[in-house]
Order: sequence, then C-alpha cells, then structure tokens
Amino acid sequence: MKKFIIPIAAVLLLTACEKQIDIDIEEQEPLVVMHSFATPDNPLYVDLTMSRPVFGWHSSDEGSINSPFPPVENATVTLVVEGAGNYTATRDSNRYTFPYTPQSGDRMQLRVDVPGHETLTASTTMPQPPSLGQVSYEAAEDNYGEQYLIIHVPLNDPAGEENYYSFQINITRYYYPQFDAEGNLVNYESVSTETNWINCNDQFVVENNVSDIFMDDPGSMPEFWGNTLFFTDRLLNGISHTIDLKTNYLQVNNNNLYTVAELVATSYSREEYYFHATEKQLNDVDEIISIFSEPSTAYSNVNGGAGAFGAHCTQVIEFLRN
Amino acid sequence: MKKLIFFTLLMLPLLLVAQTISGTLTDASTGETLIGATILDQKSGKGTTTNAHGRYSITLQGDTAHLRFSYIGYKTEYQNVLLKGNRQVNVKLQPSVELNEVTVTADRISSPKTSQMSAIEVPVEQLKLVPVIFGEADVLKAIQLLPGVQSGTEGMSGIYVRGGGADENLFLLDGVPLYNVNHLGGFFSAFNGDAIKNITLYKGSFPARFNGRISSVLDITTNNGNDKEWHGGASIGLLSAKLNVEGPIIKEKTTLSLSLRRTYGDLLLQPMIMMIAASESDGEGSANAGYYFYDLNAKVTHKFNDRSRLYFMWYSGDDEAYFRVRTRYIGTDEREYMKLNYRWGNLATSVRWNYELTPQLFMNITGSYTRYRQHLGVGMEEDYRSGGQTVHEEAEVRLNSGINDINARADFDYAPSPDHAVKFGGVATYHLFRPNVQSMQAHFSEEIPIDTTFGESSVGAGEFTFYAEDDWSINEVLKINGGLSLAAFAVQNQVYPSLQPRLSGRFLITDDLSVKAGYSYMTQYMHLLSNSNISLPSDLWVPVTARIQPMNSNQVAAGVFYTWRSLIDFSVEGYYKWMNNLLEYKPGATFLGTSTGWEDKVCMGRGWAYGIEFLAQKSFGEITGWVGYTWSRTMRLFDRPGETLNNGNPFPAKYDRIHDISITLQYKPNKNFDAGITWVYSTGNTATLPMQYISNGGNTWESRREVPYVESRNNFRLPAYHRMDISVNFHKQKKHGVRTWNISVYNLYNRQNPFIIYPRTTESNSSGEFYTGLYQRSLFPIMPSVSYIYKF
Repeated sequence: MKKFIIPIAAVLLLTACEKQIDIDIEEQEPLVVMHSFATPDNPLYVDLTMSRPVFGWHSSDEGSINSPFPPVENATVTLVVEGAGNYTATRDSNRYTFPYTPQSGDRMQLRVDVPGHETLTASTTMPQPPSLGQVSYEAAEDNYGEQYLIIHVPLNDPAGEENYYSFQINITRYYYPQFDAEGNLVNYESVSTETNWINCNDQFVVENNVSDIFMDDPGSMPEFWGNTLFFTDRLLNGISHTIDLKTNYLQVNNNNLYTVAELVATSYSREEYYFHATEKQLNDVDEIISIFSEPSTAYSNVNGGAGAFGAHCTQVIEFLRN
Repeated sequence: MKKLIFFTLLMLPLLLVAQTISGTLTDASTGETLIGATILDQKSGKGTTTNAHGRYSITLQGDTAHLRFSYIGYKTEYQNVLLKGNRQVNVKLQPSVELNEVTVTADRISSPKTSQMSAIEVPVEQLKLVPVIFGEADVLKAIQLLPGVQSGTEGMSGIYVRGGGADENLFLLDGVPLYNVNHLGGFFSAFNGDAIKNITLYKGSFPARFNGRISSVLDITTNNGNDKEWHGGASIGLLSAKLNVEGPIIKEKTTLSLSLRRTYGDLLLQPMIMMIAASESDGEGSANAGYYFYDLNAKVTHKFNDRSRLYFMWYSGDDEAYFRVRTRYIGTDEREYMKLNYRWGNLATSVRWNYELTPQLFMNITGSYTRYRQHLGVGMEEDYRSGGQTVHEEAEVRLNSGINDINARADFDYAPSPDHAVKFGGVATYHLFRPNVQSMQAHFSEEIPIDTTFGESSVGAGEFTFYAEDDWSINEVLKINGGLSLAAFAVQNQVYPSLQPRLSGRFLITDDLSVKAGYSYMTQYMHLLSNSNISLPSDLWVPVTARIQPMNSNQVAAGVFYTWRSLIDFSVEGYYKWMNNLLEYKPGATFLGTSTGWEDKVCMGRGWAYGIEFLAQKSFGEITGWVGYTWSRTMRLFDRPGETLNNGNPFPAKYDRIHDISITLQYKPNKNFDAGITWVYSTGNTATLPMQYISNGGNTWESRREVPYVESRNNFRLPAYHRMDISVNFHKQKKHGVRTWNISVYNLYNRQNPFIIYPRTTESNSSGEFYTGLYQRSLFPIMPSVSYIYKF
C-alpha cells in the first residue's frame, strides 16, 4: 500500500491546478443587437447586428475590421412617437431608417421583431439642447511658454430633472489664409480640424466624471483631461453655473494661421449618456489593472436583446475666430 | 417624569423586602471566570446568568433561596442561602469528568429561554477540534461554518454575515476592536485559539451595547489565566509553533496568561538563501529574505477582593515580508545594499477595572488603544569609486498608512430584580485615520539631499455612543430585550447623529420551545477600501466624509427555538435586512493601495438580504458538533444619478450563495483519542463575465469594433463549492503532561474548487481557428498536515 501513496498524492497535487469550466450553451445563443441614437438633424435610423459568442471556436479575423458582425436581414422595425404617430423602417444593409426626424421632447418607443428571436423593445426621449449663456474666452501662457485658452461656459441647468451633457472643443486651422477687404477668409493653402484635449477641474463637473477613475496623483484635486468631457447635473441641478475649460496648443497671433474654435455642447438622454460612458470605461480599463479593478459592463436599455436606444441634441457655438 | 415616579413606586416594595445575592462563578480547577453560566432560584423559579466577567446578581424575596449554579461541561452546584441582608456567594464549579455525563442545564445564548436570537455561542474547545488547513486551529474559519455566515474566497478568513460585506463585522477582543483580523492575506486569522476563552457571534437582534458595524459582532474573550498553579503548552505544526503559559503570579490574586504564535518557515529557509546568495554573488554577498507572522496575547488579572478586579490585556500581531541583499566587491571598498520591508499588523491593549458598586450594580471601566498600520520601505545604499574617492549614495522611500483609536468606555450592569437585567453605558472614541503617507529620503552625489513627506494628511474623527438596554421578563412566558443606542460621529466639520433602536422578544411555549423575534438598526461610520477578493495589507480604512454618508442597516428576524432532552438545540430563523449607503467601486476603478480621490471612485447604493437558517447544535457528550443549512439571497441596487451600476437594475452580490450547508462533528470517546470531520457545500460565487461580443454601434471611441457584452453584473455562477476535512488527535499522558499528535487532512477528496476564473485562448486547428475557453484555478488540493502538542 505504501508504494502507492506517494504517486497518488503527486497525481492529486498536480491535477489540482487548472480545469476548464463548462459554459451553459444557452448563455452562448447569439443576441439581436440594436443601436439607435436619435438627433433632431437626421431621420431616425436603427442598426441591427447579431452578437458573437465569446467562448468556443472562432476564425482568426473575428473582431477585426474585415469581419463585420452578422447582419439582421428580415427584421420588422417600428417606431411609436407619442403624439406624432407610428412609423415603419425600411432596410438598407444593417441599417433600418424611418421617415421621421425626431424633435426635442419626443418620447419614442422602438420595437424590433426578428423571426426566431425575442422581440426587442426600447424607449427614449429626445432632450432639449443645452441652455448656454454667452461663451467667452481668455488667452494665457503657462510656465513653459505654451499658449492655452480658458473658455468660460455658462450653463443653465433645468431644475427638477436629470440632465446629461458633454463638451468638446473643435479647432479648425486654416494655413496661410487670405482675406478680403472686409476681413473675410477667402482662400488658404490647407485646413485641418481636430477635437482638442481639454482640461477641467470644476468640482461640480469633475466630481462624478466617469472617465476620471485613474487619477491618482497624490495630493492633487480630481480633474479631467481628455477630448470629451461627460458629466451629469447631479451637483448642478437647477442652477446656473459657469464651467471653465482649458485647452492647449492654440497658436494665436500667428499671421500664417487663421483659427476658428467651436464649443460642441451636447445634451443626452439618460440612455445614450450611459451607453457612451460605459463604452469609454471599457476602452479605458487597462488589461493589467483590470486584474484588480471592478468589471465594466456595456450599457443596454434594450429589452430582449442588447445595444442601446438613446437621443442627443447638439449645439455648436463658435467663440473664437482669429 | 411621571413615568419615573411610577416606576420607582412600583419597584419600592420589592426593594424594601428583597435581598440581593451576588458573586462570581469560576472554574474550580483553574479559577477562570465562567461567562453565561446560569443561576436559578428553584424556589421562586427566578434566574439570571453571569456576565462577561463571570459576575451575577440576583435579588430575591422570602427567607431562603435554593440556588442552582450550572454551566456547560461542569457539575451543577446547589446552595441554600438565607436571605438576611445582601450576600456574596462565590461558586467554584467542578469540571465534569465523565464525558457522557449530562450535567448541562445552562441557558446557552441561543437556547429557547433567552430573549436573545440570531446569536451563536460555540464552545472554544469545540472550535479547536474543527479540522482546518495546515492543522492550524482557526476560530474564524470555524465561525464560517455556522449558518448565516459565508466565507469569501477559499481558504480566507473573511466572513460575510447575512448579506453584509467583509468590512461590516465588528471584531472585539476583550472589548477592543481589531481592524485587520488576518494573517498571510487572509489564510489565517489573527486569533490564536490557545488564548481564547469564549466566542459569541451576533448576526442580528444586536443588543444596544454593540455599535459601529452593520452586519455582525464577534465578541471574543481571552483567558484570564489559572490562579492556582502554572500550566502551559507548546505545539509545532507545518507552518507555525505556539507556546502558551498561564498561572498565578500571586496565588488566587494575580494571574498571567501568555500565548505566542509564530510561523518559522523564514528561519528554516535562511541558510539556503544565504548559500544561494553567496554562490551567485560576484563578490562577498549575503542575502536574507522571508515572510513570517506572529501573535502575542498577554493578560494580567489582579483580584483586589471579591468586588474588584483589574485587567490588563495586550495583543500584538504582525506580518512581515523582507528582502535584504548586501554585496561587497572583493579587493575594493565598493559595496551595494538593497532592502525591502513590508510590515503590517495590529496592536490592541486595554486596562479594565471591574467594581461592584452595590450588589445590584456592577461597573466596568475600560481604557483602550487599538492600531492597525502598514509600512512599506524600499531602500538602497551604494559606495563606489569616482575620481579617486569613495562616493556614498543612498535613498529610501517609505509608505505608511493605518488607523489609531483611543477609546474610553464605562459599562454598568444593574439587576434591580430577577425580572430586569439592565445594561447602560457610554463610549468615546477618537479615531485617527492615516490613509496614505509617503516619505522619501535620498542623498545622491552632486545633488541636493531630498527629505520630504507627501500624501494625504491624517483625518481625525470623534465617535460617541450612549446606550441602555433591559432584558425584561414580563412574565413566565414573555421576555423582551429592548434597548436604544445614541451615536454620533464627527468628521471634517460634519456630525452624523444616529438613534438606533433594538428590540427582541421571546414567547416561551414550553420549557424547551419558544418563538422569538427581533429588530435592530445599526450604523457604521467607516469603510474599508479594498480592491481584491483577498485581504491585502494595502486595504485602507477610511471614515465617512461630508460626501460619503454612513452605512446603516435595518434587520428583522423571527425564529423557533427548541431544545431536545437538554441535549440538542434546534433553531430555525428567518431574516430580512435592508442596507443603505453601501459602497461599490465604479466600473473599472482600482485602488491598489492609494486612497487619493477615493470618493470619486466609489458609488453609493443599497442592498437587501433575506434567508432562512436551520441549526442543530450539540455541545456536549461523546459526539458534539452542529449541522447548519442556510437558504439566502443577497442583492444590491445602485441607481442614483451618476452612480449607477448594472444599468440601475438590481444584481446579486458577489457572495450571494443560495444554498449553504455545513456539517461539523467531533467524536471524543475517551481522553486518549478524538476526531473531527467537516463537510461544507455552497452554491458557487457570482462573477461578472461577458458571454457575447457585440458591435460598438459605430461609437466614436475607436479602439475596438467589438465590445464584450455583459447581460448584468455578477451574471455568471461559478461551480458549487464543497470539500471535506478530517482530523484526529492522539493524546497520551506523560510524566509531566499530555502530548498530542494531530493529523489533519484538508479537502479529503481533492475537490477542485474555483479560486479564480479566466478566459483563455488555448489552441488553433488546421483551418486557422482558435478556441476560447473558460478556466479556473484551484488553490488547495488535498492538504495533509501533522502537528505535535505538549501541554503541562
């Protein structure tokens, strides 16, 4: 008996390390995925695709640009707008488009029927555009001689409701500009437009900024660095507050450059805001850190499937032309 | 005021004719005080129990009292006492020699006769017989086997009580809170079983004297020490060696109890590390590295007289990981030195004075200090030749964090009649939180020396609590325990007051059968920031702030309690618990030992838990143990604007285990042999796992076209957890004492329970496809161990 004890013990010890876990096959059934983000600028559309299981056999290019998600070909997609009628979408590839352009305040309900799958439903409300006062700016230089702008954005948040916002700064640069006698730009050699990185340390805004979770500079206050500042009105509800944004790399007073700067202010439905917020978290979570970090989950407000149905309303304010 | 006058008038006749008998119950062989022993006047049917210091007080009417003194494992004593004036009656109970002898008539805390429910008292000797990993008797791991208590990850000492978190348990060592109760990342608890006399776990219906955590209280009392003769014991196991001694410094006056435990693996490995360092070094090298932990429990008790005792308690326990390398280059005066030192642990000490102010009024004054701290130090020194001179450079970075409490409390037990057991008192605590202090010292040639400290400054907070409770026997059938606790926490110019009502009641149907119900409201003013499922020393305690509000819980519970032939206690309890202002980390958030901006990384929400617990417990006889089963659910909801989790929908908590079974049996047929067996089963933990990839919807964040889709947080259920452990002890009487060989086997049938799960792409086939599977790693396979114990 004794001669068997050591080999048995060795086998038990070695086999105790790694083991494959069976996955319930029902959890791997593909889902119908719906994405639709309404704006007051275009007819409403819905993109429909099928999901792909995480576990199992996959081709090597799955997930790459060359391997799109399977389309949904035979769906019936309908829209109900409270007080504005019912609509049915027509299909073009993955996209189903309605003959209806939403307006602020529209309460919309989507329904997607796909044979062999559960019916998808989702609803959202088109928000009002952000209520902004007069946007102004001042130019400054940091300790290293780098120019930056401080942009003052007065925001009037409606009381008694949840509001969701984002700010972007778009800079368009015209190189070697030519002007007419009245100072209008008439010609230039080249042009570039980019979304600038912005910095914000407004505590009413950054306090619950979803993208600021990795800030760990000891002793400093929370602040935002990025090109889209998302925030809610949790600390701003019903008040008027001026938010200061800083942006870098703006070559003012350069005769060979003509610059136009715009603030892109967007208000979101709750659904679209959380869709973007969680998408950003998914991208931000570093693989190594994620061993210790809490899991991120993609937002969905779609019953019976996955994806999101939301709405946003954007206001573009040009505040600098120099 | 009218009520007070009415109450006084009501009590006056009783006070005029009644006499009070008070005293202390002790073990006749050791002088150790007995907690929870029963004193019953068989003539009137009135009774009481001893308090945490072995004291009792009973006020009776008439000429004589026929008192019965009883306690688990002791022979019952009877005394007739003449009721002429107040009397001191101290009783020494003889331990029961015969194992099969049924001598127990004591009212255990969970018995049908008490008003307390949702509490379990497990005899320490029984806990020591529960087989555990590496043969290290561990009271917390034994507590995990009780119904309503979940363990966290395998092998860890963390406990999750009735849907609460790991930081919602109050661990009291002789009344002093301990903040970190783990060694070695939670594989061992900080409680050395050799130093412990009594353990009571409260899961709900909390008496008003307990405050500060919302889910449980583990009240641990340590040994006072033998007041007649010196005894001791030593043991050595696979991981640690233990030594304990106890005895009289002044016979029957002053006692000492001392217990020491230390792991010794680092000492055994030292010669090997030094040999490797010498062989690998280019010059004359030396190195040492290792890890150890130790606990030191000490208690000195001095009895001034029958009415007055003084206690001094000391506990210190530390873990340390260290690494030091020295190199001296042969033929030169050049040398290098590198060091890393990571040390963390608790210190708790208290001075306590018991005094019987009157036969009916007992006072307990305590001053205590408790500290948890961690220290990480990384340093280097170097001497090298440059320009014909020897240049010296050195640098060291240190990181310190922790929490310090200074605490003063006064507790009073007042027993105006056998129908009332009143407790009241007050507690004042000053907390000093030091979440993260970093310092750096450096001296490099040709540079200005650096000596700086940075990081968040300390945060002070004051906590004050006043409480009063009465265990009131309204009549033979109905008994209630009502109490009120008023607490306040002052931090950062903010004061959080809290009024916490507690109520429990018993309806006695027969002497062996009762129905109980209870309600309690609890508030907690601090949080533990932790970023993993194991207990890391980098976990940080932080106070509530102006933004982060105190946690609170409401719990209702009801149950049926039955004792079968004075042998086995059965209970069935149902509970429902609501918890508010719970913290969870925002998706993607990580702490990794830094507290900076932590308020931005968490969101507040609520939770609820409900379940039914069954327990059958046999505490004496040849076969002892318990069988427990719990059916429970634990849910969380985070739906506040800007703080949503799981799309604002409810989700199961990580340790939401629907079924939990534990069977723990000990068999002791004679004094030479005993054995224990444990089997546990529970539904697997939950985990958040994406099962599908979906399109990113043409989103502007460019890096992925596909995103993992998780239907809901904690959507995946891990495989069920179960294992069996056994242990046997062989005792033999030797010339100077008793030696014991202990053989234990943890995870007897080598169950591969999941410790972590992860997806992995494992192989590709000839067509270029790859396979992604889900895998688990187990931590502990079958683990046999042996240890040697000698007691004198």
